Amino acid sequence: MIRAMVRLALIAVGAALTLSGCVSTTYGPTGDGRPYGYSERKREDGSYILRVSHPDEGLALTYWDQRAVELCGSTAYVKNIYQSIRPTMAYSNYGGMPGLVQLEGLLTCTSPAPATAPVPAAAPVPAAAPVPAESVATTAPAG
Amino acid sequence: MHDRLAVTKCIGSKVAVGGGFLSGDFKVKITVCVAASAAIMVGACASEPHPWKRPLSLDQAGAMADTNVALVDNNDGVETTWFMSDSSATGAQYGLIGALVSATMDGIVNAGPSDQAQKTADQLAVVAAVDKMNHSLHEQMKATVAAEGYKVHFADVATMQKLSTPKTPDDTVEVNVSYMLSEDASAMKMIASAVYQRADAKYVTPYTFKSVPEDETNGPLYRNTFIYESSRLPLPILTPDLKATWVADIKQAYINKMGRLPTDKDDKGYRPMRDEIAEANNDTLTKSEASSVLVKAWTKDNGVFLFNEMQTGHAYLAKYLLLDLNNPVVPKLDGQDDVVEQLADGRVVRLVGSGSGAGSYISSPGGLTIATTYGNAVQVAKVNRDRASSIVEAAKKKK
Repeated sequence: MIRAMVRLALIAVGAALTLSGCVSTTYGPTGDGRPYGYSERKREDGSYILRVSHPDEGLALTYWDQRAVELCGSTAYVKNIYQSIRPTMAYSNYGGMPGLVQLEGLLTCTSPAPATAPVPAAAPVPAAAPVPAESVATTAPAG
Repeated sequence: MHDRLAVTKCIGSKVAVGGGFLSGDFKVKITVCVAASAAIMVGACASEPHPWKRPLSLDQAGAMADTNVALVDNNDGVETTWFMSDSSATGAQYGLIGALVSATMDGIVNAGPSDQAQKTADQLAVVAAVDKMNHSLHEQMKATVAAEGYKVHFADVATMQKLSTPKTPDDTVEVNVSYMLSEDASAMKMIASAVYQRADAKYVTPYTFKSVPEDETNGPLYRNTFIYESSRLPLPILTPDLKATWVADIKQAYINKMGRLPTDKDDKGYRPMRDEIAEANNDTLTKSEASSVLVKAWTKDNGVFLFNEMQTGHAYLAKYLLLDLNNPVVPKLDGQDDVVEQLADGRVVRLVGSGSGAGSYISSPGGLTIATTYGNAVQVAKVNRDRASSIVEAAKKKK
């Protein structure tokens, strides 16, 4: 019985690995069925909210910085990553496991950014839409 | 985004499962995150999705004016989290025997993290007394002053014990708060929900639906969620001394359990002890190992770090709850997250812009590098479970 279960588990792992081979984890934007990668939105003050999702923590950080360099045109930027978490992925009845690494942070270019941020030609990213007024709260009053 | 809502809905709604077929202490409480996530997914198929938050209109806020606040006493203290393993779906394919085998295997796999989480919860509870935590929230809420132009103000801010008095008075903002420690104890998260309802005012959904979902036809006038993520503690660095301490702790635990150190290969505890020692001596820092070290930073000096974080979290909650009660903006399902406040220390308050969690607030520390995890199962300190039981018993006797 245990052998059969172990065999089944190995098959499942093998299948998962095979299938995951179909999903690119290389550098690039998210979207179009691609769960791994970066996405960003330019804020009214010129800074960006930059997000990266990736299974590997080290690569997630590397990709965040790589995209930051692309957006700012150089390494002259200030970053403040305020979300670094692996949200829980539920499975079966009560099972839970850490999901993809989710990084999100504020990126402020400290030198003039290029007019258009370079985007990989293979997977163009549409220009960031302006923020709907309804979705932005007023900054809280001090105190 | 659904995750955030699931967490929101988990407050105060946990299901006790497991029964201790392997160990008497193996009492596990599962948050309903899993169930909530599933319900949301199913709900998304069955009805049109909509944000969880319900804002007050200007008229409603004007009618509220000075409003009482009921802070529901937290009874669980700081819960510790861990990831539960579940192979029941695989085992079920092999009938009853498969189910029994998978349950046994899960029990073995879950026992270690569960025990560590219980140990950490008990250690924390020594300094993090729930009365002290509730008092901190009460003080911060009372100290909050409404900004100029606010229509809603806090009048009387009182605490209430839901275990003995389940019903919240009408025309009162009810606040529930829970606290959980990350799997490696490097961070703590405070999740607060606020609800307001008045018997003579009916909720009218601000959204347009093809068919109005049942849950949008009734319920509170206002509700929202506020999350505070504590500053992070740096993960410990593995040193020979640290490993030696763990090995000594493991040996002592087996001496306490068996009356002597299992030295013979035929001893019942010999193999598991050997495996635990090998893990302690390797160069990988597990979440449990990190937790065993970092819990000391939370409890050091009577929990000064813990209570500073709680105080900051409570002040954030009070400030943003009042702000939000006075904010009539209706969140959109397809909006975008934005940062609404940045503090000098890098802390960021952001407003969730889309999905079911749209309109909720999250306060997070800045400058993060290492990803943390909050498990799907929680452990409550024994002292807090006993305290809650005695409150329930006392309430029963009173009736």
